[in-house]
Amino acid sequence: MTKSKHEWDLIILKENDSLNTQLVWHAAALARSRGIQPRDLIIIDWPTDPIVVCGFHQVIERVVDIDYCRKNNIPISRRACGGGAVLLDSNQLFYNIIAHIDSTLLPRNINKFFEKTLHPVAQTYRHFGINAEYKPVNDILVNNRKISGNGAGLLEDAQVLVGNFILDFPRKEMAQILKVPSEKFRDKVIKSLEAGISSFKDELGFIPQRDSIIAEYIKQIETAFDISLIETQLEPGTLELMEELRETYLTDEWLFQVKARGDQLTSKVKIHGSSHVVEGMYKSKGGLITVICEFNGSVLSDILISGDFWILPDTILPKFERFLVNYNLAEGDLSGRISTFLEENECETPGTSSSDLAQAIQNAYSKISNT
Amino acid sequence: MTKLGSKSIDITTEKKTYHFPLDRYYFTQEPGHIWLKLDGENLNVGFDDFGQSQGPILHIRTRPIGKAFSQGKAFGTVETNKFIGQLRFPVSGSIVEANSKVFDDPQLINNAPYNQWIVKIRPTNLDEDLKSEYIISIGDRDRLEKYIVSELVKYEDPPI
Repeated sequence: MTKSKHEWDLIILKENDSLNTQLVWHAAALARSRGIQPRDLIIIDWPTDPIVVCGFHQVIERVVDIDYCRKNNIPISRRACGGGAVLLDSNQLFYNIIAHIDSTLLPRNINKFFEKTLHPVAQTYRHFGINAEYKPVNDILVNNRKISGNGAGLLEDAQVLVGNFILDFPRKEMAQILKVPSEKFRDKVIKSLEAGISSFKDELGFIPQRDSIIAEYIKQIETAFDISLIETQLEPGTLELMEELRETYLTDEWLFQVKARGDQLTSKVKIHGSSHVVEGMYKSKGGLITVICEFNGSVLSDILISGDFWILPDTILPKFERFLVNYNLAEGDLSGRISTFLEENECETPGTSSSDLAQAIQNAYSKISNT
Repeated sequence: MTKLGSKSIDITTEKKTYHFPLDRYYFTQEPGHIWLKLDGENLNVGFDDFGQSQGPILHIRTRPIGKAFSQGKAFGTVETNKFIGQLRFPVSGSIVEANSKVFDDPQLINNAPYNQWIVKIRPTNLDEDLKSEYIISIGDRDRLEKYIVSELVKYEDPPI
């Protein structure tokens, strides 16, 4: 007697409202975790209109040009998966793999999870004559250019992989939605996207029919997972969850929930009532610098830097903040110290000098030193 | 290979040797790998050596301070390699403090998981919660070893 294959649900939604493309997999993952979706499943869809989606831990206002998105009616959302901000549009094809944490088909080891779930993606590209290869941890590359973006996460008790086939990539539009210090810099971003990201159109000169890509992907998944995909609809309870999430996912509370270390530092006010936590601001040519400082006497015991000035690399701020901690403002030459840090770490701060940054901190300190 | 010391368990796989001190509780509800240690009337809560070894931790977020949650609810998330994992409340209670050092530099946890607590929790039902099937008691080396070995097998990095 032959052993019957595991059956998974296959939900092909095809063209979908841009926000719905995000809501649906979040809702389906929660539904799978809670038993509303009875079987592990794969959802396939693509957005009708562009949408900007940020990584779960990103500080949106630091990476996305929010004004540009609002002016151009491009919604911004946040996904419960890792990675960076992306512009999703109708020239992409999304797959969402959702399995209960108890599923034995998907590895729990993160590296092996990506390897198993991304192999069918690479194989699908290869079927169309594109020499795509899986590269650990979570990339599909062709000639060192990325041709698929992927993130993963655990939502309650459901493991999720979300990713896309890139049919054609909107480089200029992608560069527009990112927060950059100048138009010159934006050109650099476009060049970097050209060098780093490919698509079906770039590789083949044309875009194959979506249905043929979907059909091949299904075949590759069934082979790699040794499962049968049964096409069906989402459970009514999952659709209800989508509506609940819709009310949340466009709110400022969800979008702007990550405030760098703001919550932690602000919380210090509550815990250490005797400490002096003060805010300082300074407007440089490059933008507004805002600092929240905790002082113990004249010693800076903690600091959070934010604002709309530009600093590169954008990951340097936590290190910069750590560098400033324990600095005694009575020693003087804060500007020189900041200048040394910026030079040693090859930082660029267009329109903002080390003395501008020092002034923001001095402005905070003056609030307690003058009392 | 498991090496049983008087104060810890060390389990070796092809990849590395995992270290688990016996001076604290462990919480195992999926995805597990939370340690907890009494600190006065609070509990210090962190990520164990197996948890941190899943990859370099890029970000950590936690629930806001002060709001009460029940045992097993998520108290935070960690990001490694574009994967978002969950941290669960090992006991019912509320976060009273978050460790700003690990939010600034999450890889401190990778470097020394037992030296870095992530949050301090004020428990509300400690005695009952410590009886949970998901809690491994201080010094219970047999259960701890069984748990870690089964996790290593599940994550395809079996002991040698």
